Amino acid sequence: MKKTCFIICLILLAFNFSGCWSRIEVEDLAIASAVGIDKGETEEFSKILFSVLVVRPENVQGGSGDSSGTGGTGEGGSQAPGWVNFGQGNSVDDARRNLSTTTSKRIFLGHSRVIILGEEKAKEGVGDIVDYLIRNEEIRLRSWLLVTSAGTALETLSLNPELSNTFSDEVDNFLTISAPRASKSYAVNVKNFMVDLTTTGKEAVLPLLEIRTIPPGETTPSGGSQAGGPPQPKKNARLKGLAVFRGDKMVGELGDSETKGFLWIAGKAQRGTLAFRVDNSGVKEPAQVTVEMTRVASKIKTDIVQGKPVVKLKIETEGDIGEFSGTDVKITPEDIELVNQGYRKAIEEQVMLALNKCQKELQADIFGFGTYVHRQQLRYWKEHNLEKKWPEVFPEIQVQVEIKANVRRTGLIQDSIKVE
Amino acid sequence: MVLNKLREKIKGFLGERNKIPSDAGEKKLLHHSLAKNEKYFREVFNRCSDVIFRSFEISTPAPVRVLIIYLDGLSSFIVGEGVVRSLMARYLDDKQRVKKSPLEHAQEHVISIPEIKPEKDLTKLTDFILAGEIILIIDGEPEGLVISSRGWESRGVSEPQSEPLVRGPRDGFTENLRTNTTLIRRRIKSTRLKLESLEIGAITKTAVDIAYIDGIANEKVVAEAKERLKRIKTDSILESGYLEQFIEDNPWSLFPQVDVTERPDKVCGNLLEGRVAILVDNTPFALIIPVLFLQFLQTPEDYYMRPYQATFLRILRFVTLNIALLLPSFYIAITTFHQEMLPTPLLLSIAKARSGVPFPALVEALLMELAFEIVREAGIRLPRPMGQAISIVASLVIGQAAVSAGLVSPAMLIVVALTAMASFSLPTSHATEAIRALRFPIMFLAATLGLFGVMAALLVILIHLCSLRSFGTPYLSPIAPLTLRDLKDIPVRAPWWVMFTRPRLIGYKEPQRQDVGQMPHPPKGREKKT
Repeated sequence: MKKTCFIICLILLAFNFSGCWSRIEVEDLAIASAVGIDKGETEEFSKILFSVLVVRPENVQGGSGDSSGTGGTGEGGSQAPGWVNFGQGNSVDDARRNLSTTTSKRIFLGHSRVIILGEEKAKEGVGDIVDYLIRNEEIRLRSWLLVTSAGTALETLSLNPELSNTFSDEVDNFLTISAPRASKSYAVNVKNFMVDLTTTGKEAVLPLLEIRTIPPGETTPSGGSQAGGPPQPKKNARLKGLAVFRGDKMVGELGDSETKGFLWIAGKAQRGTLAFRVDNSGVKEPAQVTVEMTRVASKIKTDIVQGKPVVKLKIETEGDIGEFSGTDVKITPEDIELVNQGYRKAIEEQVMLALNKCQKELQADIFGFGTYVHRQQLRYWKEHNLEKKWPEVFPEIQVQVEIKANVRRTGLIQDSIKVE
Repeated sequence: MVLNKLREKIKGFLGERNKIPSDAGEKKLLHHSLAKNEKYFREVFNRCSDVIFRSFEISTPAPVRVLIIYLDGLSSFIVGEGVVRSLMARYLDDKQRVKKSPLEHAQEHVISIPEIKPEKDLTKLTDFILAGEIILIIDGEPEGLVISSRGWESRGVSEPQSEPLVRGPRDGFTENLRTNTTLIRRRIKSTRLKLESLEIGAITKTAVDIAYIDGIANEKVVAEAKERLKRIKTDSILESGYLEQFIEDNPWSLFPQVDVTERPDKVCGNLLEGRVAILVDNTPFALIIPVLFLQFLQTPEDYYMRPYQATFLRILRFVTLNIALLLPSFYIAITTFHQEMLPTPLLLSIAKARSGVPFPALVEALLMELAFEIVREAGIRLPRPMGQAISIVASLVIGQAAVSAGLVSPAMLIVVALTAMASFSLPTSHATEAIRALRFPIMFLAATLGLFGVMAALLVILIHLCSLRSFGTPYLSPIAPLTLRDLKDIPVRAPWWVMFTRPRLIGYKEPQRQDVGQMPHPPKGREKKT
């Protein structure tokens, strides 16, 4: 009896002594929806500039203020749902802590869906950032990583969202809803980036985000210039190809076509268009064809030919005709074969573009050919100590590309209409 | 130490008074002399104005004085026609009277009331008078006659207020034990339905019937129930709730281990599954033992509905049970500890709703829960016409005004309202009380330890439920211990032609209740028309 009472008292006291450990009310949180990490201004005390886009819940979704405030998100616009703040420090964590000295609430990173790295910092190396991102318990491994192209992450965060509530929502939608429709960018989250970085025989890529300036004279998108004020140049963001890393340093960029080539090889191309010409002998004008790609699969096999690794790349794809201009060419079973051929060629062109750029210029195996060699030719891999030497071997390996392309549907009409 | 001292103090305070005084003195028998008997009864019923003594003479042929004693308020027709008139008028006519004593003769030939028996014990006679019988004492006879005439005024059979159904019988138990037993007997026309009588309460002498079906009910449970009921030494039993607390296996548990109902169909269904019912006089609420926890999520209507609907409702009730128990705690835990668990838009709208609320989530939740409990209690206690006023005031003041005044957030209002609705949707208020009581400690745990606290509390509850027994039957069966056969009736409700066995731990004496393979199908012999 005495003992039971004692134990019950102990248990009851335990709840009091715990003191609501790590308890915090929602309204005391500054919910960061995006994080930007840049190189700091000086080498001495501020190697890292850590910026956050904090959401103002009161201004999200209707409320009194229009969700797209105009006067810049920095310090002025109290209407804007987002608020950008930054701190500097010697390391990422340090910079983040220093950020607290200028923020009245506790900065909460658990809901940041987008992490933007400044180009300068990316070129310098992102090892420290990735370590922080994975070590920190608040950062989600599923948040998207991006690199800015020409500009800092801080600038990018200050962009106004056009269709979504916050800028991070907009970038999130770019990557998940819009980008797959064009196959010109590739969403990478923290976890996949970490895996790519740590896998031998594979280099990492990140999507690039560019700030695009719209001249003031042109038609402005929603929430445009305020009455009275002078027209200001509007800025918005655009996904622009991929940043290629070698090790943890960014070494170059892939343009739109090269990015598509990369996606073909990786089998990640989903939707998008490919425009090419089809020459039909006997007809004066070649037809201009645009194919909407559907169903892409790629297969990578490796072989050792004459003591050297060879990558055999097989791409299978289908497509629908999106545009077909050229009045002289009729769509017949024979001519479709010509279209298929043109489609195949166009793909090959892009694939070779990407391969050449990565092999010759950037020397970064972003396709992960090394991992395939490692898996499929283990003995060769070990004998030649490719674990260490792969970066040197990669630029030299031969890639055989085999493409099967098939156009299946022509849309609602068959032949192009004849304008008379 | 402190506790021990306290206990000793309590002991000292109670002294030796831990037994109630018993009025069962030495056995007194009826005297030959009517005058002496009358004197005795008049003394016993001194200042009992509702006891009527009626003394008159009959001739046998010699005039003999008789006395009838009964409680006022009985049907005067029974007393007048059946007893007094018969005695006065028909006694003389009869020719056989010479052979028998006046008492025997009255019993055999004169009194036209079916239930009648001789009795000579004075104490028992007194009890019979109090129980509403008519006592007839004849001068010179050593025995009195107990003439049954229980004609109490009682409420008619009406629809049970606490357990209304859409489909199902509309009759409910009344305060009259006999009416209640007839309601059961009317449904189970079998000699195997046994009703054993007990009398509990030294002063109230309340009649208690134990009902069970011979051969289906486990006789050990019946014996145990009788044993536990007989052990009760108290002055009064005014409601079956008194008994419930005396016979529970684990009296300190929050969870009831006895089911309560005022529906005869529910009692019969349970009897037929092998359970035992305890009916108490003067209350429409009967007790059912043993009970399983998951039974509290069932209604008799489940068995009358089509199986799909019944199954859906049973699963729904399971969900509402969890909502009623956990929703406020989850809200507190997630909004104060685990903000990363919410989708971003939801977190933003909660943050928006909470901005400007002066209290932490726990205080907010407690305030609203408290307000809700007050409204609930007020709604029950107030006379019906005022209930509407209450609901308007409550919804206006607590709902709108509190939110627009910024005292609570709309999100919390939704949580509390949903919790309230969920707890009302559980069929037995009996079990809901436990859930309601547990909600508050879990809320505290959620506010101090987050989801970890909620989970810890759930584990403690689960362990407790596993350890409970209701008259020896594991409380969580057929889930723990798992009985696959009984799952046809616990998460789902199988069609009737599938349910051919009784619950294994309860009706194992006669496990099969119907023939197998009774699924409706076209007759086998018939040839197909081509």
